[in-house]
Amino acid sequence: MVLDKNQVSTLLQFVATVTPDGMTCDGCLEQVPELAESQMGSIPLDEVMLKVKNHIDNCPCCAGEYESFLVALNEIEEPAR
Amino acid sequence: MSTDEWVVRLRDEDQQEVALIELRKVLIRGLRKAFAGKGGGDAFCEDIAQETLIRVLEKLDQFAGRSRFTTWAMSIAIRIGTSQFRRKMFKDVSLNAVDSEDNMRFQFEDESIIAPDEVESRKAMVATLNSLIAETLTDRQRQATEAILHGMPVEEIASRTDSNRNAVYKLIHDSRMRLRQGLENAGYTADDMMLTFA
Repeated sequence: MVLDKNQVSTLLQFVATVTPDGMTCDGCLEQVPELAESQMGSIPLDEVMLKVKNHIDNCPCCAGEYESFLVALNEIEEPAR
Repeated sequence: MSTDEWVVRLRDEDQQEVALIELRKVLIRGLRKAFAGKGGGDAFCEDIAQETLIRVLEKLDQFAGRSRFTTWAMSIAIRIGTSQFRRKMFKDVSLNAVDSEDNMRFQFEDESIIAPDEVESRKAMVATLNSLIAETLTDRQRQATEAILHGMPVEEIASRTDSNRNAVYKLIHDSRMRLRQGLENAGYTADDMMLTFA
């Protein structure tokens, strides 16, 4: 595989930003409803929610899914149009 | 409707049908917004909402009330929707990134990525990274890392390698930790990694 500059940069950012993470994607996604409500309500995160948040910070796929989830939640909080 | 009311009505045969119609409307509203601009049209959102309703009824006893009911149901809808959206998006993507023998090693196009004033530092980092990839990662870790660099989601890599999302995530996470440790041992800081090719 020949990496172009952008892929090298992506790989290095991927490496530079990694932190220890013992959580699985399934474990994280089961708990995102609670995380979302905490974050949307500006409630301080407890130890478990911090681990969920850490997983999202490490996993681009869960991060993308969580972002879509927040968009949907913001929409259903508003009155139906 | 409160969380308790949703649960009571969905469990009550006489009220369930109306509650499902109402929940479907809520889900479709959220799904439309979440997948707007991503190619998820009305038919896609309606299908996902329908599948979600079935899943919600199946999992209703597992709902622990740690969030509002609609938040929980929406999380299921987004998970199903994201999974189907990714499957659809990557269904025609070549498997070469994850299963080709030719792709088991990284090669860097030095000429195209190195500016004259940064030649030496970039060359040194590329050489270190190349060595670490070759010496510290397993074949499966290299495959998965390559696939991620092609933009392929973890669950799609899993489906192409007879694995699962959790296992592939761990494989890639371990690769990142090994590469980071190796680069740090070679004297590079996180800032070096972030900025050298920025």
